[in-house]
Amino acid sequence: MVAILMMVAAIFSASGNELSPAEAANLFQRFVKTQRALRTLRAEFEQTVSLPGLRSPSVSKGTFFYRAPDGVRIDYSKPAGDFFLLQGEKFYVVRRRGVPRSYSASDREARMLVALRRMMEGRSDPEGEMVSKVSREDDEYIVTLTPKNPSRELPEKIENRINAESLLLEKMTIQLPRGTSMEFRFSDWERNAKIDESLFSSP
Amino acid sequence: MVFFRAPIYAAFLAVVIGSGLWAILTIRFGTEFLPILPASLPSVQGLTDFALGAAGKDEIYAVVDPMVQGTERQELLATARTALSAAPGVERVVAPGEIAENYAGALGAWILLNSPPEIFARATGAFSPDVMAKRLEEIPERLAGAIDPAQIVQMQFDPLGVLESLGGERGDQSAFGSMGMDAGFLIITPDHYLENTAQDTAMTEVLRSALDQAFSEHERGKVLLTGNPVFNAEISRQMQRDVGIMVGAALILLIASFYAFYRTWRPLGWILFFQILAMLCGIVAARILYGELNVISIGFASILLGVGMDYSVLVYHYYASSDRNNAAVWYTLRRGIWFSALVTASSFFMLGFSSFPALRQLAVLVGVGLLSTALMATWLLRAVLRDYPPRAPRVLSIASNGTASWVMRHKGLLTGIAVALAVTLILSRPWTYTKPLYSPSLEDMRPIGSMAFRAQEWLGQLDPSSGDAIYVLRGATHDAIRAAVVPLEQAVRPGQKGSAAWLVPSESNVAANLSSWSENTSARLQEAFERAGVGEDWSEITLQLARVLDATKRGDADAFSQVNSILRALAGSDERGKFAFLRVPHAANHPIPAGGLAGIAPDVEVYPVSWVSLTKELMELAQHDFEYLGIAMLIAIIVLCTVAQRSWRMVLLNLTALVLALCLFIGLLRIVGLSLTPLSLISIPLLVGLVIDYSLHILMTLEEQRGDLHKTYRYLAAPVVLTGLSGCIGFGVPALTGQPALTNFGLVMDIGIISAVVACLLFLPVLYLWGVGKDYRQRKFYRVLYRRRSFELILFGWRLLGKTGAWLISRTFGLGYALTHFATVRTVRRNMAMLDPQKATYAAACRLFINQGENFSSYGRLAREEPQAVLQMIGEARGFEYLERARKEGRGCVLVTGHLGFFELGGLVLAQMGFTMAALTLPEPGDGLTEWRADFRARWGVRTIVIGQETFAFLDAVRALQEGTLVASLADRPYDDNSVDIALPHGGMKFATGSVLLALLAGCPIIPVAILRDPHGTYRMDACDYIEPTWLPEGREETLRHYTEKIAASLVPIFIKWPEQWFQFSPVDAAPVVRGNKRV
Repeated sequence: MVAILMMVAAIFSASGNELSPAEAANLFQRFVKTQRALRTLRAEFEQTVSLPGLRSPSVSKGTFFYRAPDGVRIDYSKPAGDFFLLQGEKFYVVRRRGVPRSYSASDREARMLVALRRMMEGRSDPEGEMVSKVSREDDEYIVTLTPKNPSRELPEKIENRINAESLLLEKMTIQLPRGTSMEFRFSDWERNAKIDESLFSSP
Repeated sequence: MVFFRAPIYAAFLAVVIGSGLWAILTIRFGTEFLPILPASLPSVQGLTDFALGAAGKDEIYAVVDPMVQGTERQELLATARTALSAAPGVERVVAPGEIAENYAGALGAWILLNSPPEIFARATGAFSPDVMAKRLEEIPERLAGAIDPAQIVQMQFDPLGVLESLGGERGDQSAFGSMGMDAGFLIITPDHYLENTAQDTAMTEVLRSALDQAFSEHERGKVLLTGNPVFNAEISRQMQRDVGIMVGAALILLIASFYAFYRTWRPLGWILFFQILAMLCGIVAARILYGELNVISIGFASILLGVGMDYSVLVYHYYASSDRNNAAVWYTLRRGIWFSALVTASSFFMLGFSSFPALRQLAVLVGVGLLSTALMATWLLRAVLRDYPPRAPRVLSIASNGTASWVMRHKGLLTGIAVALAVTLILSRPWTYTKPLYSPSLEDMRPIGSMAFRAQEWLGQLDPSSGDAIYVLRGATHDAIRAAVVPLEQAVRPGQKGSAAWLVPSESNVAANLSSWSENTSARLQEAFERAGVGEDWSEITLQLARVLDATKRGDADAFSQVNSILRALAGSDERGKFAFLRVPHAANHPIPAGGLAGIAPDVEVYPVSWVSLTKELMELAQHDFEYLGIAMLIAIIVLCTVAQRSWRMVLLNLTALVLALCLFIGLLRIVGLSLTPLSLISIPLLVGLVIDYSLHILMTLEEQRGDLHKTYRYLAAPVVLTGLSGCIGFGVPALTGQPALTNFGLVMDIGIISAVVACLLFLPVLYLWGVGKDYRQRKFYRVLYRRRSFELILFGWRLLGKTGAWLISRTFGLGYALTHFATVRTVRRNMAMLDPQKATYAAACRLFINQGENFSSYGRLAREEPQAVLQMIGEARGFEYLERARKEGRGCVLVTGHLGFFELGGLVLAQMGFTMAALTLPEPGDGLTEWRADFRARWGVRTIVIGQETFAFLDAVRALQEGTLVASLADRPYDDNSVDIALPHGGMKFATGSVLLALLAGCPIIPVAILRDPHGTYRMDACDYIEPTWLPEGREETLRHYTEKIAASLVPIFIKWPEQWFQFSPVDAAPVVRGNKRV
């Protein structure tokens, strides 16, 4: 998810299928225009966590919600009861219908959703922690992000595959240390659909 | 050569040179900064403990420029790591987080073992078979749902959640905050201890060379080295370079300035040779007493060159002047040099009581050097110059005279300027200056151009914990220290969440936790992991933790050896007890709480590891030292000046010169915009010593020359200016090193020297001259009261008040005069001191004036009494046979006396005894007094012959003698140049030769006489000798001298015995009579 954000602060190399600066700029303009027209966004997702030494990966499913300008919610249906909620400056995490843990939007725990929200708003990343590379492969744009300064606080690499036509995210893979990876596959995107307002109320 | 003539010279030189060379070859250059600071300061203790304990004394850091980021930084680090690892003498090169990453289990074991037993139990509860099996089974489920990527990594790292138990304790603490893999620096550990600066330098050069070869020129500047060994190597090299520059440049400039003044080379060579010998003496003292020179005391060489040169220049100037054979002048000069050396050295020795070790060393070195310089100048240099006397260029004499004349003409202006200076400064209220005169920041002392320092700054930017306040806590046990952590954290940063107490070991927790730990847990865990199909990727850290705890349970002392380098940065123990290092985040800029650190924990000592707090402590200590040492120094100066000059007025003038110099100093500092730093603060005692040095020389010479400014300048002006110039060179040269601290020190000292020279050479003589005082005969009291009407008033007073009243009034007048005429009293004491210093007290001088008052009053008595009755005033009479002999022979004789007792009475008494009497006198001041006194004497039958410019009066006296008259005259106050020098026990005076000439022309004898009031109130008359003068074959001059000395031989003992009745109110001394090397 962080990778999507970094797409708007691109550093492009001129090798392979990478986009030229002009193409990248054009793509960026398209993306911003599209995002700024958003009021809501909704999609289904499947989350797969793979770790070396784990017999089989851990798979979760759920629904992604965005409500302009500052609400992001990730609801898990499997396992049920888990969700992330970022509303304004508050960030909540609920696991297995347990007691919500709240954080500030500036806390480390909220970084992922904050970056995602920024992308949804069509804004660039002010901190510039990641270096991005955009390439085209068939009908997909591939945005690859690597940290400027490797840190245990940041993933080793994030790869995002975006539909070239709709500019909607289809898959995101986050590479973590020690061979761990997290993959998100998105489907059934809906723009500006009606969304239950109560989803963005504080738990 | 002169030094081979006397063995003592050669022996002395051999000892000094030999021991000096030994000292130079064996002395150590102490490059560490902390040892020069007072060890008693909490911050110094903290910084020292931290440097030795946590930081790793021998560790070197390779730091990448923080401006370089991303892949370039990674590449630079990788290249540096490869090159440094391959360098000889390197044990390992690690990134800061590597050890923590690779041995996280061991670290976790340490943390758990020292945690409270309940936390240990909760954590290790995960090792029970049931719990463990359940947790491992749950892994996939725990990875599902709303999980943060960081939690995923954590789970792999700690699948059983052992370390989660510690989560709530830590708050925002990060024990290993500086150990991230992304820190941008590497830690290099040598494979051997670096025990001295030479080894530091060698290791640093090896590493630098490795980096030079690994990187291109463009890249090389992006990776720098820092750490204790690098600093030591750099400072050592810098010190040696700086000393070379300072001494070399100082010598060149001094040679040039000396030649510009004196246009000669050989004496200059000798002077420099002896200066170097004096420096060797200082180095020997340093070697014996301290074994080293540090970054501060290394400056002593430059200081000696600047301050000590003036002794040699003064000696040189003496031998180059026309007074080179004047032993009296040499005596004064040598005395002045030694007193100056003692005073200046003592002002430095006062620094020996400073709280700063570096200043104590400097004080001893400079003090020893100054005394050695004084010895060299007054002994060895003198021996050389005596044999080869130089000649000073005439221009110096012309310039000195011209300056003296100018000063005399503008005495009033200069005095006004001096007063205005002092008043202006006081009115400007310097204590309220917005820009302080003293800036205690250590930032100003930072070296520039230092690669090690730049790398240190980079490290500070890269290290995320650089904003932490760090403390060293010491206590009897780690438990006690641990208990002090929270109070300390809350005092420094109130409201801080979490605590770092968990990073402090706990003996009690370890004992309790170990007892509950089952040995061989690691083997059991391994089996469980294998059964659950969890590979090494998951189990490694947990098993490592368990193995370390197993080893500890077994008593293995090396259980934690793999993480010792990290644990050393947390806590330990030494000969002083247990210690721990504590970090409080975001508190680096205010490490000391409002209430201070003392008393936060009763049994635990807390030392800040902070340059911020060190600055404050140094400032307070420097202020304290300054106040107390300043007072002590002032007292020492006052005492020594009093001993040297034996006059409160002189001491006051010395102190006035000091005040004026300080006024100039502060004024010039403000104009130039300079502040004093902790280093240049030591310029104050140096300046005090310099000012006193100059002022002592100048005042002693002015006293010796009785206020003759031309002579004083002839002796001193050129040397003082030259030594001031050499001082400016000596202190200003360190500015060539470019180091801000030394540049500031040099400029401050130069300003101080200029202030000292101006104050002592221009203002001080003027202030001295105001107090020299006119001769008593020019004073108003004398001019108004020594008149005929005053004597008539005395007579009237006797008639009116009688004996008692007159007694009271005369004594009152005498005492009143003494109390109001300080200059005359000083002159009288000076005269008395030439007879017997023990009797030249202020009280004795007052009695002298009272006696004189009594004498004047006695005129009234004589006027009232019948002439015959005055014979009753005579008590003892001795030597009358001489008078009778003259009468029997029908010859007149010259009765010679001094201004002694009541000599007028002698004439009256002798007249009453039937002698024909006449008195020789000079014209009295004022109208009618001469005639009045002549009439008064005439009543007793004593004729007055007034002599002076007229030759006939002299013939009159000769005729009177030939007719058998006894002619009385005074010999101890010659009115013209017809006099000879007569030695006194502690000085000399002039005796008139007129009496001898008179006797020779008249062909009559000379009888020295005296009439003195004895303690019974009567008068004793002494006729001391019967001298028959004849013309000697040696000639007129020798004849006059011979018989005048015979007269003096009779009278001087009487002066000595009755100093309070020897009425000399003008200085009687000629230049002292000196035979050989001693005053006679």
